Amino acid sequence: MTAVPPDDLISRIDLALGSDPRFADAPAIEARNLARYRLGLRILARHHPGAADRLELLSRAGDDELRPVMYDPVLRNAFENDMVALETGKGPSDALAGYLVSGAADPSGGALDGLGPCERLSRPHVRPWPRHSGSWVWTDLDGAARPQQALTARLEELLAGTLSKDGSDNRVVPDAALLAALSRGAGLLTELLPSAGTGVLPHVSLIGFARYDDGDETLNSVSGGDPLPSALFLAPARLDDPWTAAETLFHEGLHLKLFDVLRTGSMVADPDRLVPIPWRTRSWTLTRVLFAMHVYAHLLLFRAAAAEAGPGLRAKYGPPPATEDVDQATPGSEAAARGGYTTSLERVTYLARQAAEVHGDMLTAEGRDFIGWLIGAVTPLAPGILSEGGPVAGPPAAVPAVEPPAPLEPRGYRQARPVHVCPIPEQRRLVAVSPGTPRFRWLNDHAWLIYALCDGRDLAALREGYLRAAGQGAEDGLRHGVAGLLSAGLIEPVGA
Amino acid sequence: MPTQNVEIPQFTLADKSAPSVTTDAPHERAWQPEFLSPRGE
Repeated sequence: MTAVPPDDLISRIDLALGSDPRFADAPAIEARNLARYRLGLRILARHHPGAADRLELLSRAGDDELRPVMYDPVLRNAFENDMVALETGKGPSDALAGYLVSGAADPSGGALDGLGPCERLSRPHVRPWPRHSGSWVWTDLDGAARPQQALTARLEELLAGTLSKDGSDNRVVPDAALLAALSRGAGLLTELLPSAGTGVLPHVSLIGFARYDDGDETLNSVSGGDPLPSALFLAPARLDDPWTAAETLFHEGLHLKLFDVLRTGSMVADPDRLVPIPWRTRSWTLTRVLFAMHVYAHLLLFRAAAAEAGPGLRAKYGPPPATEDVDQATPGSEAAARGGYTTSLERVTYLARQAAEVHGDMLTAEGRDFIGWLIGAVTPLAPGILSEGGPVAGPPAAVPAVEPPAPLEPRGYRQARPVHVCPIPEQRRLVAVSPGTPRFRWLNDHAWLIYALCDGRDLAALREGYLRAAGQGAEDGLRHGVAGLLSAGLIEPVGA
Repeated sequence: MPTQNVEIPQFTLADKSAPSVTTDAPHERAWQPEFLSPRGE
């Protein structure tokens, strides 16, 4: 058998890590997020009659108009906060409606310019990789005038809340050399990993720079979840070398990608589940384990690709680092005392086994599929990450882990009303949300069909319709599908 | 685009799939720590 040339293997893994529609493909992830925003805007419109016209109008806008607004860090944060307030019964809150009604998000003169509300205030406008996405750099913001003043103040506030040091004092206004180094790092990343590397860039809206070093610790980089969405910040020193710049952009861009994936499907059922980390003194949440595993797995590819980089890349960007620069074990940790866990491979192996094999019962079906996809993709670079026959090594769980369903209602089921849905047929998914209990529900193709068949027909007709499409052996699937839809509040028994 | 009508999907169901209804959870998107030197995240 002929050995696979290393660069072919790297290209295959690069494609696998950049193209999966559920966990990697940026356009597919964006399509799901935009569907979610369209539905959420409809829900907010019901709760804010004074802003309903603006919210409905944005919901109906095309992607090129909706995306810059909803991927703006300030407005995206406002949307998420408003939805959480409704979900948790604290609402309604009107942060997003406030920005829209005040005109803070409007382009000057009303003409579409393709810019997001905060980006519009940047001076100068800088898009460091315009061929790949609309990411923009926080240079200076011209926010002196109302109503845009509210945006600049809020962006500063979100940054201050994200950095452990005072953000506003530590932000760096980039000069031309720093901007050139940023573009150079991204250029290397996209040339080295055309699929997985390029694929993180559309998840980045805002790139900022920050610096602090208090003697004990130095900031390298940080990226935001809902508290500062779609934004990453880099220490200028990370751009001194293009390989370090590319790796840091990859690292933080992967975090932003996973945040976008998680907006359309939960992976961890227990937010409080803690996992001991041998190279740290404090345990991590299972969610944090997934985030770190996601990056370490991709770094296996990055380092393999760097080692195989051809003369063209080396001439253009210099030689890649000869050794892996993994951060130190925390003093007092098991690894600091006994050694070990000094490579990405050791760490990703530990994290994957913890997530899949020790705490696999706390993963959703989506979470199990995610680990199976991620570790499966990089296993050719590092066989044996997961134990053979581990929980996610086989096919994804066929049936969601829910309580055994109750007997089905002979009179059938009907859809709970009102409900807003948004079909995404190209991804075989449907997202639904009920204004009464505003929580986004993501249905796969089987659940979508059962949901559509819950139109008041009796159980015999429902069963006949589903089994005709899913196969005569799908009785258990029907029972679990009905149970899942009932639990989500999307259907109710006829006669209830 | 959003609608209030749930249409029957017009494609063949995936063979190796089962009904799945999931949601998203804000707690998973709340925070990732800074990447610091020398101690990492």
